[in-house]
Amino acid sequence: MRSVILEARALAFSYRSSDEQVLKDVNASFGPGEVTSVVGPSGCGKSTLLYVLAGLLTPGAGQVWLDGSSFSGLRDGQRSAIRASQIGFVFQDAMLDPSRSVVDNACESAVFSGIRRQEARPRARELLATMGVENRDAHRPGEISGGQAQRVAVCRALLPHPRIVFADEPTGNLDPGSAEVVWAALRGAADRGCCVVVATHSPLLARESDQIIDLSPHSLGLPETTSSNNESFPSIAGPNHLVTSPSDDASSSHFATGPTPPVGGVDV
Amino acid sequence: MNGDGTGRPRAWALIREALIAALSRPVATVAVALVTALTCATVLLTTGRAVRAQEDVVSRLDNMGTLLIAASDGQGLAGMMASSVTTVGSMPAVEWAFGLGAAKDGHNAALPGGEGVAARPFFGDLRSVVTLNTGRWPGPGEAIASTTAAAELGLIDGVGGIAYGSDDSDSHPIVGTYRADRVLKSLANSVLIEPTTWQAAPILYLYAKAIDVSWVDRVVDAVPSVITAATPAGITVESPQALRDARGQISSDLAASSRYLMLATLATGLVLVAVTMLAAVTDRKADFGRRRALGASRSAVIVVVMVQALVAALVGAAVGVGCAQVVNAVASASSPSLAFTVGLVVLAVACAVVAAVPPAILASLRDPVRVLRVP
Repeated sequence: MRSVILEARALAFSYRSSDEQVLKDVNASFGPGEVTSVVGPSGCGKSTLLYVLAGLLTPGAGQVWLDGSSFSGLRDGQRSAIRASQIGFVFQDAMLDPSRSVVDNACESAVFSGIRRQEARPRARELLATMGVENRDAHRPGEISGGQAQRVAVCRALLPHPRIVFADEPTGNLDPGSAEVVWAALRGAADRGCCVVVATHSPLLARESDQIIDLSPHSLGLPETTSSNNESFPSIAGPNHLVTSPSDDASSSHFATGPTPPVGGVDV
Repeated sequence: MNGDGTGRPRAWALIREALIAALSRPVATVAVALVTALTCATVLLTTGRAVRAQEDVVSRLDNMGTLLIAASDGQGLAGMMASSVTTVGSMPAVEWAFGLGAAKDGHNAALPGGEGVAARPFFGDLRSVVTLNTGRWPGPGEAIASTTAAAELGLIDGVGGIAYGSDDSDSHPIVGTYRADRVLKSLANSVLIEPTTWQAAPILYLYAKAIDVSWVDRVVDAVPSVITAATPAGITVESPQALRDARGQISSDLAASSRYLMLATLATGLVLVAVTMLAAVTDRKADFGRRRALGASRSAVIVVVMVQALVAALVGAAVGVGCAQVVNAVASASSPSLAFTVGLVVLAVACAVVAAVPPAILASLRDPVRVLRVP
């Protein structure tokens, strides 16, 4: 039987009360060791869903459940404490502190999770080595590339050994090599039992995932938007109502340059 | 699998975060430190000097006798005993008590028929009421002359002897001279003799100095009841009420003007620190958004901002006090007391921390998602 850490039940959200809802009746569950991709075109609410699931935004309707208890209903301080100790976040932009060294940036999450500095720094160096940026540990973010910065951001997210990692388009601005390293780190975290939720535009990443949530308008039963760039997703079901597994024909290296494997969308 | 942390940051880790923030955003830190330094220096060079001047004025007035209580037996019939000096001197509100016996006309023991001066037995600690000028303090049976009396007696180096009585039967060696530059200026033309035994000796005057002006009235009320005298009704107890009133008025007026000046300076500093910190947290909204997303609670953000302000203010206060001391030293002006300086530092730092509260709350309430979303 599949175990569930995090669950979205009938989630709805809009940034302003007068606006159309960005999220509407989203239901999904996330288990340990699983990588879930949240896909859909820009503006469909991928990042918003991650923020709501991470407790940074409070849903207008519905609830987020963590270990069978309401997470979204907790007070801000309680949500912060859980976010600090159990949740890692990789932002779309690496968002490193330009005034600190790479290793100190990797340790930043430890400050708020209550992990001792003496314990955090060796762990950070270990993670940086895993991500191939150990020789940059004394550099400032302005002295490393964007791909390296994003790897440091992944280290920061993984340092407190979180149960859940949210990654908001973590490979969006990266070269294939860096993207592969970042993806491997997230995949590795899932293999160690972490629940990983990734918002991505990349159909290739989605195909690597254990489940996909599609927030595309067509999957909501709305008229399908004509796509000129063939950026549709494999084996995707209506995200707000149904979550499916990707097709089994995922290629072994989705970060290699070359023609995009043929995929086809599925309407609800 | 479970997260390793408690979800609650350690206090020292937050302080370290604040220190790093203070160092990594030197403009805001230096600005807050500068404002605090200017506040402290301005107060010390204006109000501090005024307070010091006020203290000097009050001290001079006290030297003129605002704290002095005098019990006198004008007729010499009340039979006030020297033991009263000990009794009054042991009262908690009395700094010292001093008694004087009846004056006799004395002259230089080596010059019979020479110039006469008043010679009195004294009871109590002479060091509290006069300043030694030459020689040494007298022992039992010895005398000490005021510089004026020594000159009138024609003493060389203020040493010699004094004789009095119808046939010069009483004489005492004079072992030094004193200056009556303290509260009992009436001793400026006397020779004071330390008696060999004095508890049962009669005295005409008993002086007591209250520890504070607020105690004077109570000491005046209490003295008659503790004085040992054959006829207590014959003793008059007085204190210079008019001088005390003047002291209170002057002290109050000077304190009021100093207070307003200091409050205005501190208020200006508070506003400037608030504006500076507001600009700093606005500039750092990405930092706070990132921290909130990483699990920093609102209170953690508030602590980081306020500790940053605290550190900057402490450094600024130290610099301000140092600069003011240097200016005072160069200008040969008297510096305010240590208590005033410490009080000012505490007040200035507290103002800076209070001023940082609104910006800190603002930073903690900022929506992290607005920062995290890349346009």
